[in-house]
Formats: sequence, C-alpha cells, structure tokens
Amino acid sequence: MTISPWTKLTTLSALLLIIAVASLMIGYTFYSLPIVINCLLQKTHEFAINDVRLPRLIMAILCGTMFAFSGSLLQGIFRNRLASSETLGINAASILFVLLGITLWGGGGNFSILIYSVIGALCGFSITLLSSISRRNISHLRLIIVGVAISAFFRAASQFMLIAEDQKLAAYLAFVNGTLYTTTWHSIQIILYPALFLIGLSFCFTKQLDILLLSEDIASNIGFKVIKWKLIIIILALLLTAVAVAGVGSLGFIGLISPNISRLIFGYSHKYNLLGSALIGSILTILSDTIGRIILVPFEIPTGLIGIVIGVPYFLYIMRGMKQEA
Amino acid sequence: MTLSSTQSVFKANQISVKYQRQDILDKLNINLIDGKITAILGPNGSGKSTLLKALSGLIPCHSGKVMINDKSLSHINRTDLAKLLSILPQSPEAPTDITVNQLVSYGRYAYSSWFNKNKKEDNKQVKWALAVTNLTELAESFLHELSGGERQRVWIAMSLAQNSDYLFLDEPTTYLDIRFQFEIMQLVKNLNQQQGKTIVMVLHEIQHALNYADYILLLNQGKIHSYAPVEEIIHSGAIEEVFKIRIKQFTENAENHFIICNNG
Repeated sequence: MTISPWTKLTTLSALLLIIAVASLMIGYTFYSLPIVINCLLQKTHEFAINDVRLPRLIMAILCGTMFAFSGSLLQGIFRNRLASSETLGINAASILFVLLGITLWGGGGNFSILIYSVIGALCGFSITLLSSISRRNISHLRLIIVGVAISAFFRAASQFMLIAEDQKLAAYLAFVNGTLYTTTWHSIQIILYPALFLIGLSFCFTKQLDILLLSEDIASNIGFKVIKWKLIIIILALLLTAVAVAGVGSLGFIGLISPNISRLIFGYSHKYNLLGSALIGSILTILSDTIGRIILVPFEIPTGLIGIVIGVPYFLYIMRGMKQEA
Repeated sequence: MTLSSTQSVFKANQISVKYQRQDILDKLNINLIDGKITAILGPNGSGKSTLLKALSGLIPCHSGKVMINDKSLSHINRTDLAKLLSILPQSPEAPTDITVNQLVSYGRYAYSSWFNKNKKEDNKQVKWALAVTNLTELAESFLHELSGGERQRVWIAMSLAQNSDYLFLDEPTTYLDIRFQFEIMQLVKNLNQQQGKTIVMVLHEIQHALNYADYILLLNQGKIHSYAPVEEIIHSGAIEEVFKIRIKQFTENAENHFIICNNG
C-alpha cells in the first residue's frame, strides 16, 4: 500500500480547510456556512467572525506551523523524537523573559515582545545545552531530562512573577499556558513578517536536515559540515519558537507531536514531512482552540491546555511504538 | 613491485592522540603503502579505531600531522577531503525508511554545489557503485528490508560513490555472519585489485587480515609494533608475540591460508 506523498498532503490540506471553516462557524454564537463565506468575501461584516475568529484562525496557523517546524528542526538536529522547544526549556524561558521584559521595560503590545522572546529562547536553550554537557559530550537522553527540569524551573519563575506583579501581568495569565484568546489583528501584525520569513526559510534546509539524520561521522565523511549546519538550523529553530511564543505563549505539545505524526505519515525525508508537520501543527492548534472555546461556554480554556489533553495520549502511544523500535 | 607504487603520498608524522590526558596514540610515523590493502591489527585498546579516525580527520591529532600529497589534513576542507578519502566508521546510522539508492547518492554530496549540479555524473557514479557492490537489484529497497551483509554493502557503496582514492574501513565485518564476512572481504579485495583503491581497514579477525590484506600494521599500546607485508610479519612472529596466539599455515591450490590457534 503506497499512497503518494502529494495525495497525503492534499488530504491534509483539505482537512485543514474543513477544520478552519468549522472554527469560524462554531463558537458562542453559531454562524451558518453562507454567512461565513460572505464575511470572508467582505460582503457582510460580523464582528465575531471578522475581528475575533478570523485573526485567531490565522494566528493558529502561523504559530502552529512555527511550533511544528521548530520541533521538526530540533528533532532532526538531535536525532531524537523527544526533542522540541518545550522539552528543551525554550518555550518556558521565552515566556519568562517576555514577562520580565514587560515588567521591567513595558511594551506588551508592540515589537519589543519579539526581542524579549528571542533573548529568552537563546538563554533557555544555552542553559539546557551547557547543563547537559559532561566530558565534552552531550548525551541526547540527558539533554531532554535536563531540558524538562529547566523548563519546570522557568515555568515556576513565571508563576512567581504573575503573583508578585499581579497588576501589570494579570492579562498574561493565559499567555503562560498558551492562548489565542488575546489575539487581535494587531497582535498578528507584530509577528506576521518574521513568521512568514522564518517559515519560508525553513524550506531551504530540507536537504541538510535529511543528512543530519545520518550519524555524525558518516555525515562529515561525505563532506557535510555538521557543526556549521547544526548551528544555523538551531538558530532558526530558536527564532521560530521565539516568534511563536510572542504570538500565543507556549503551545508545548504542538511542537512535540506534530513532527512525530508527520514522520509516521511521510517518512524520514523532510521534503514532505516538513510540509506535513506544518499542516498537522496548524490543524492541532485550530482544533485545540476551537474545543477550548466551546466546552465551557462562556469561559475560555487556554489552547495550550487543550493541546496537552489531546497531545499526551498520542504522545504515550508514540512512546510505546519507540520501545518496540529499539 | 615498482618503486613508484611504494612511494606513499599519505603520511602521518609523529601523530599523538590523547583522551582525557591519556595517550591513546603516541607519536606514530606511518608511510601508507599506496594501491594496497593495509589491515590494522592490535589487541583491544591498542588504538586501532582511533588511528583510523585520526588518519581520516574525524578526530583531531593532539600533536603531529597527517599529510596527503604534501598537504596537511587539517588544512584541507571537508568537501575536498571527501573526494580524497572515504571512511566508513563502525555501526553507521541512517533512517531505516531510506532507500538504498538515496543513501548511496549521499556519497555524492561533496560534488554538489549551488552552481554546479552534474546530475548525469552523479547518477553514473551511483549506478557504478551499486553495480560493483552487487546491489543494483536492491536499489529501490528500504534499508530495514536488508540483511546485515547487504546493509554493510550499501555503506561501502556510499563510500565508493565518493570516488576517492583512499577507502578506510573500521571493522567492516563486525556483527556479520561468517558467510557475509567472507563476502565483504572478497568485495574489499576486488575493489583493491579492480578499481585500484588504497584500502586501510581495522580488523578484529586476524584470520581475515592474513588472508585478504597485503600489508599488516600491527599496533600495540598506542605504538606501531610493525608495518610490513603479510608474509614478512608472519615470519617475524610479531603477531604471535602481541596476541599470544599461534598461526598455522597450509597451502591449497598453490594459495596460502592461515588459521589462528590457541597458544596452549
């Protein structure tokens, strides 16, 4: 049974389209398909669709893709299916630095949030990496364990900040768990161009990512500059994560499971599985957001929490499969 | 043997490698014999794999220099080096859902660049590498569908696609059934005799070294005990001394064969 990768990608795209339209229809108020289509064509204007659900949908696709890509890149670099911005402490560090930045220098609603986030991503990853070096070597298993610990630390620090700086940061409570609730056209404006640039750039590295799946000495043997490419791709992964966190906070499990599902469907080659990862990341983010806003109406459950509820069972399923592989 | 064929262009001058302040290799001088098969032998921990890695630039030398055609190895960039020598490390890894053809074509990586994509030449070399290693019919198979012996041939094919004069192999027969061990050794011999490759391989099995190599480089405790043709090294009793074993020799169809026995 071989289905061509393009057929699979088309199917996933169709699924994304259906879920995207459904997410515009479903919510506190239900809109029929014709109304949604009219709104999209700008024939009519419904505040709930045009100014609430549509920006959320676009944000979900952008950030879902970026988290999924950063996961794909990191899993390729470390040849470890548990690697992701969440398990390496990058998300949590970015969030803490955003909170810190806003408290110290302000600027929650403008481009400075991107800068705070990037600095946080760099710090988080460096701390995880440096803490896992032992005898000039990085054990890939230790990297994940250290990453999870560092992540827990930064998360606790963020919680502490929320309590201590209650007045300034009250609006950011949901941000810590990852949310699309606060998304507006303005917040999309902040991340749109860096997001599109980084997503486009990621597609330039499919060949390098494929070769990085070979063991290091084999890759150097064929003339591949392992350290150089690893460094470039890690920086790209950090930037993707930082921009995504600046957009929606931390959607941890999206970045962990999307690349895994994509790899199961499309195989090792990043030519297809990177696209697949993006589609799956988007679908999961939209699903999490839509479910989050309909199950406890009128309350919103942070997207990140729903992501975890959907993600963890699947993740456990993957882990079972990994055992059999080894 | 003509003089020119023994004039080596691959040399190691006084190379030392340390690991955690301990000498693994201690000031080795090697003039690699060109156009022949050299087997590196030595007891466990004598530094065999380390030597192969140092010679191929996978690990840096603490002191000393490896020279290829009068150029220091550390001054040759990875891409150019990949065209000069290919090293197949022990237990290499690749995704298991990769096809044989795809993996072998990675051997052409050093020849591709942004400006220059010679697909025709690449395909020709890959086809040739698959043919020489008897893999043409398996070209579209996935790596996980192959036996251990076939997999090892795929890795050798990938090295061949690099089209380098020097081929370094680190224990190419480890973990293989004895039948496949002979198959790989015969393949190595053919590559040397028909394609003129200079081959250096680390071997665990002394018997394979004696039966298939032309020269033996005997390592002991990070130093070179001897580097000489097989016949010479057997007569000197060096292997028996280092490994504390006995070698028995018999002739069948005018060919010498060797068997390793316990030094009881």
